Amino acid sequence: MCWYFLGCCIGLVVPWYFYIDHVTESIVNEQWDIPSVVYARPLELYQNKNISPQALMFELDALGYIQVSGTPKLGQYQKYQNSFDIYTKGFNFADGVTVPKRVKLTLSNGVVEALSPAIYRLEPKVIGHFFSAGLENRQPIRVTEIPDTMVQGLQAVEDRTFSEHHGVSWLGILRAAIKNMMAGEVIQGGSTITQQLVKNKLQYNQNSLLRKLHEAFAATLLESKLDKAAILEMYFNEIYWGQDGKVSIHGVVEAASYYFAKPVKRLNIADQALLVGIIKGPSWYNPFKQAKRALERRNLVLKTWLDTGVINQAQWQSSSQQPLGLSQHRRLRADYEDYMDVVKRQIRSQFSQSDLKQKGLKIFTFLDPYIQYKTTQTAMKTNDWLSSDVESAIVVSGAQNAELLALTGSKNGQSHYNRALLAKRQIGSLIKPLVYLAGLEQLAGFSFQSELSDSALSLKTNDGHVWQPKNWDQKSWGKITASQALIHSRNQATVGLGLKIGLDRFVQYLTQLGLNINRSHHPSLFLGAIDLTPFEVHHLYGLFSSRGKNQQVYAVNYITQSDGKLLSQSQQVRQKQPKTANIDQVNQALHAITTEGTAKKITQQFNLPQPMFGKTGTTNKGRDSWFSGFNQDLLVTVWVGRDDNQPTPYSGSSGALILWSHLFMNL
Amino acid sequence: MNFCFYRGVLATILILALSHCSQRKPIDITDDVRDPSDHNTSIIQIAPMVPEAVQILINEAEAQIENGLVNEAILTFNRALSISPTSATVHQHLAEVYLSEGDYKAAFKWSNWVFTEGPKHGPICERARRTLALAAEMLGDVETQAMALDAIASCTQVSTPKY
Repeated sequence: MCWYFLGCCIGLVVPWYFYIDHVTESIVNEQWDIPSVVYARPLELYQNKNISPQALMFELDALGYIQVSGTPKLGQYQKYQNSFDIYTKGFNFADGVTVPKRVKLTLSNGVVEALSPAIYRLEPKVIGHFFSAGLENRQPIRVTEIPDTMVQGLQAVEDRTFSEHHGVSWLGILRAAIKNMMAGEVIQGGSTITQQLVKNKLQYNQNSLLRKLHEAFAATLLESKLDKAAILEMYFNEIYWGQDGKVSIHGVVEAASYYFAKPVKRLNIADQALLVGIIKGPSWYNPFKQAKRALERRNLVLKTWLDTGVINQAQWQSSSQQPLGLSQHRRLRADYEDYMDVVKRQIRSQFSQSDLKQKGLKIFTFLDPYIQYKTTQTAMKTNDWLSSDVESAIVVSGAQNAELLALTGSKNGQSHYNRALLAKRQIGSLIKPLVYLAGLEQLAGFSFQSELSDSALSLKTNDGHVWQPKNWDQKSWGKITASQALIHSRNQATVGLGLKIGLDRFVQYLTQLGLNINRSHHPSLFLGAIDLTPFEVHHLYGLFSSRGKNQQVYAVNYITQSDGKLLSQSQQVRQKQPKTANIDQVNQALHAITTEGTAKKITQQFNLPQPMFGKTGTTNKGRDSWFSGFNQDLLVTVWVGRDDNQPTPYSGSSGALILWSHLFMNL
Repeated sequence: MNFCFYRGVLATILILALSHCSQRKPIDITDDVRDPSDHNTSIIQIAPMVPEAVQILINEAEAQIENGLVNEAILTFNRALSISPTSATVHQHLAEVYLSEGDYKAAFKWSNWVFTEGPKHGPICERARRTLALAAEMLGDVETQAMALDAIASCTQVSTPKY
């Protein structure tokens, strides 16, 4: 009998031991998936930079800075009239570290008039992540990088005998059991930090005795495999700290970023106490939703810290009187999804999905949060400025460099259809500048003073049909210069020029410029009978705004490893570069279009400062309304139309141009 | 036997000599591009204006290059270019970094931009043409190399002799 009992014990305990040993071994050896982080461009401040007070305050707000009336501390700024005193947070860039410091600047008429130091860049805003299936947001940190008060404070609140026990505090369990019995319900847990870590790792969701035994045994074994510092480090990186929509916040780095928009080492004592306090129940003590409850919990933690000697009386007094100081930067998150689609496209050929979701890469983009915000707002006004029947898409980049600053693929923030990237639509007259550029490049003796015939044409196409292009006003102007033909968007004259170039040669020319066309057998190509997305159109006009320098617009600037080592950087691919003099001739016509041509509303109605350049485009019965235009700083392409490709009452001038002009006025 | 041996030795020496002739000495930006240009004696000297912030970044990038941090320097030059997208000085610095790093396509692209859009007299003019010539040489583009070398002279406007 005795032997039978012993056999049963051995039969149960030995497999159990090996099971728990396996579990703890997997905890010790577990490697976290570290999501890659995508950043906006850092705001560069320097003398004579164009920036309005609104734009600067928007940026500071988006980065989680708090406006104060007194001398700013780290992560705060003071504004007095047009002067700003900002205590920056610093950032580790791939090309060097920017240290936190007081930056003082004065704005005058939308320009940085004075700045100390002479140049400074703020930290870039996080605009997205590449998560693994678990949607866990986490960036690991060494325990030595966490403030001592927080490390000591965690133990004071969660496990005062942490340094003494071997994984389980039997005294603590007894104390909790007595308190629970006296209260008649579970009011106190006896779990040590090690047990909590095991519980988090194993994701137990039942509170059974067997589970407690598992947990205690695994905690004891874990303490034999890891030292106390390693357990604390694992705890700070593992523990669940709340929920940001579908994404769960794990680890102190993400918690500090989510709640305070600060790096961990810059958390003040009040911030640290709040974070330690909400571990007990991140939903119950959610400071964004339950501010009063969270404040009480934080102050309880501070009192415990005072009682246990983690902080002194003065620290307790100043910390317990502080407001929660939460960052409000979260509310702008949804603005970046359409832009992120471009980021994904541009890096998918360089990095595998698993690398992006696990290796913690840092992806630095050109996104300008303020311009993105204004672009989204402009698209959302489509219903007010045009009608609720049409959709819109807007792409914004630097005019002279290839930096994609903003992109929105819908007038509705909830839409998941990114028209800027996916909607292939006929581009109409937007093709014309390219026809004239091809003429300048390929036809000997052709110039903008050359005479073209704007008269009736009748062409027999390859499929045997007769094609008779007409002008929008149903008139033919006869002999006109090439310049007039482009400025006034004359169809018949343009087709005449196209025929001189030749359809095949024109297609070949477009291919050399990086535009691949599948269907090319019809001369209507000269009038824009070609389907392109707004993003593709934008690339074409980047050629004009950069005077031939840029043929690709990039969202991604560069990518680094998690330790900051550079992995890749965007560079223009060298394709056929048109002669600058030829581009300048086309640009003269694009400028005239904004003063006397189809886009004269820009200067005559909206009074936008000159010089402006651009071209309208309208397809059959207003199915597509386009405008792509630029000044010396920005290139913006706007498309307006219906998803079902039905007619609209809008031309390029009465539709897309309206949104374009409003956006330019508001930037 | 002896004849064969001597032929073998002769062939080896010939191959070594030829391979030495075909090896270009490594490009030194200071010696091959900058120094000759610094002595530009043109009576018309065009030194493109550079905003203070851009000059600070150029200095920072130069220091990074001296410390062997070439990738970091390229990023710093790109910061400068974001501030001043048409700065011929920054374009030329980038061309020289890429040339010294052996990225001849990039060096060609950046120096070609300065060649067409940059100043037509003075040191930057001359440096761009030297860089373009070297990049074109390394890419085997003899036509561009010859054109760039010819164009170096145009960066110097000599004064008319007065008798």
